[in-house]
Order: sequence, then structure tokens, then C-alpha cells
Amino acid sequence: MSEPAIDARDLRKSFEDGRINALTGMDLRVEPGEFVAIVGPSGCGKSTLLHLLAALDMPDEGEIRVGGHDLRTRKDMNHYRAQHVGMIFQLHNLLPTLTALENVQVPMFEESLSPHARRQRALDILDAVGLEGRGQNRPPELSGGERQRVAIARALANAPPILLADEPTGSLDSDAGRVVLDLLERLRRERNLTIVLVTHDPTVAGRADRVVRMLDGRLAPDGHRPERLGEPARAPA
Amino acid sequence: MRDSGAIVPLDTLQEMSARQDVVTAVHVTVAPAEDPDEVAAAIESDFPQLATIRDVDEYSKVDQGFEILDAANLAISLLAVGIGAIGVMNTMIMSVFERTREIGILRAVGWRGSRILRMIAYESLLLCLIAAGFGIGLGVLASRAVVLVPSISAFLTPAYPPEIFVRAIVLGLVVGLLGAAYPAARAVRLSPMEALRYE
Repeated sequence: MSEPAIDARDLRKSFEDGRINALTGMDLRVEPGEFVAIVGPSGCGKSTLLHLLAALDMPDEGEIRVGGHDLRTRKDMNHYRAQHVGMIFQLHNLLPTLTALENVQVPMFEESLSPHARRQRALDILDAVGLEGRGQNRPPELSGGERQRVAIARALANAPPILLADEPTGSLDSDAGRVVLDLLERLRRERNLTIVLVTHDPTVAGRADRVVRMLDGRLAPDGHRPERLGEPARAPA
Repeated sequence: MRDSGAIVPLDTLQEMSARQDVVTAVHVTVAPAEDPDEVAAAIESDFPQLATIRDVDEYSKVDQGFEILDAANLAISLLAVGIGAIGVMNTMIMSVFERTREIGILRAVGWRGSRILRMIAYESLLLCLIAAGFGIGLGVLASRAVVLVPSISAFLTPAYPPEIFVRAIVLGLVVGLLGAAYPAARAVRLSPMEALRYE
């Protein structure tokens, strides 16, 4: 059996000197190429879990293994964030003063690429997310859906095997949201990506291979649902 | 020459000091039969705008006055430089603090802290260099404007030795860099998530 893409065990994380317990012993295992949706009520720790998986924050306790490697033993978290995971935020978090093309190039600066190679790779990724010809626009000049697609392009800049998405359609209308989800599914098929997506929206969760329910910082009692919502289960691509 | 002084024709001195037709001191030799105090009183009576100095002790009082003026001038200059430096530092601190979230984004996509610090340092140096250029230009214009006032131009002539500009630029760069370093180092030490939450 191959190593899981993500294997998180007994994750605990609190804020404000322990007054807020965001995670209280969360476990999560994600296989390579799997598309997992994490759902649950507001404040149940979904986003905190994603931030820990992206190494944007560190757990108080627990273990996260990505591709078989324990995150705690990694010396260079920046390299992990740049190369192993791509993070998509609900509000895109693009740099407003840079063009779409420049935003996509930002994660590539830690690689020893020539400016020409960086630019070409960013153009290719923008093409892949359907934004050819929009590279010179700055985020304020783009629609919400386009901004989110730039954010997806940026997340894919260094071709990471894992994509983490925090409510990627939360601030979009249903049409733009559908475009973004179609894009994620297509990219997943083409690049064999592992996707972990946090959402409130059952329709969005219904696009995943597996839905994981959280409650009060851990798996809900009926936390694992191997089937798509309303559809039979299917194997990961 | 004597006591660091020099004797030059009056016209030449007036031309050199840009004080045409201005005389700042007149030496009067009193005849042996005359009383210097009476002569001084007569001069001050006939020319109330003049002050007379009658002996060496009073000269030393004048010299001391100049020393006090020099000291006051230095103190005011240091104070002005200090206030300016605090202003520059405060501006840089605020501008980098406002970029904490941007720094969080860069950390989230994998930028190393050292790269972020380098970027902030380069940007700060460039900003301070441009600001120093504007500041120097404004300073030169202001000094020229001040001497348009006759009562000031009678005593002050602006001078622009290169070292003044070098000192101003170096001071601006050092202060700006120090001002940027603290908030940048602080933002880099935060976890990316803490920096992203910063409002």
C-alpha cells in the first residue's frame, strides 16, 4: 500500500492562551490523487486544519505526515510551502499592486529560474486556468472568479502534488463558483493532484470523492462519508 | 596676517562677503589728550544705531557671544536632524507595518524570511534615496528663499559643500533602513497565518 498523501493524527491547536480550542484531536488521512471535502459548522476547526496542513501555522500537539515525511522534522518549512502544497484562500490573497502574471510568478522566486523561464511558466499556467490574455491585469481589474483562478494558478506555480483550498468558492456567485470547481476537477485529472477543500456548501462538497465532517475540532461521529453527496462512491483518479 | 586674521581692501571684502556698502566695524584711535569714554559716548549719541567697545574685556564678551551663538546653532541643527530622523523612521515603521499582511502572503507561498528582509531593505533604500533627493532640492530652495530677506542676507550666505549632501543622504538611508528593519523582522518572525490575520 502506498504512503498516504496526507496523514494527520491527533491534531490539537488552541488560540488565545488556550481559551479557544480550534482542534481537539483531529485525524485525517488522504490518499494520493484523492479529492476530499471537509465540511462542518462555522468554528469547528476546518480552516485551522487546512492552515496546519499548509504549514501556515504549527499544531500544539499531533503529527502531520505528508508523503511519508513528518512535518515536525522538516528543517525548511518555506520549501515545503513553495514546493509541496499549493494554498488557495477564500479571498484569494493576491498582491493587488502586481499583475496576474507577476502574482503567479511570486512563488517561483525561491527556484533558480531565469526571468524568461519564470514568465513562460506563469503564462502556461494562466493558459491552463483559462486566463490567457489577462496576465497584464491587476487583481482589482479582474472579476471575483478570475481572481480566484489567478490564485489557483499561483498555487500551481511550482507544480505541487497537493492543493489545499479554503472555501475557494465562498465569495463567488454560483456560476463563477462552478467554473472554479470545474477547473479544480480538470486540473486534478490532468496533474493527478490531491485536493483537500474546506467548504460550507453541500453542492461544492458533492463534487469531492469523499466528504469528511468535523464537529468541535475533530471528526464528527459520522465523520467519514466515502460517497459523493447523492452519488455512489468512486475510486480516486 | 595675525591671529587668524587678514587685511584686505574694504571693497574686496565687501565683494567677497556679498555685503556691498556694508561696514560692520570701524576702529577709532583716540588722540592721547582725549578721554575714550567721552568719545564713545559722543559716537553713541550722534549714531544711536552703533554700539561702541572700549577695551579688550568687552571684545572677549563679543567673542563669547559668538561662541554661544555657535553652540545654539549646533544644538538647533542636532535637534532638527533628530526630529527629521524620528519622522523618517516613523514613516518607514508605519509603511512596513501596513505591509504585514503582504509579508504573510509571501511567507504563505514559500518565500524565505531572508528574501523578504532583503526585498524590504532594497525598497526602503530606494524610497529613502528618492526622498533624500527631494529633501535636498527643497532644502536648497528654502535656503535660497530665506536669504531673500535683506536682514538675513546681510549676515548669512548659503553654502553647499558636497559633504553636507553626502551626510544628509547617508543619514537618511541609515535611519530609513533602521525604521524598516524592525517591523519587517517582526513580521517575518510571525507565523504566516498570524501575518495574514494582521489588519
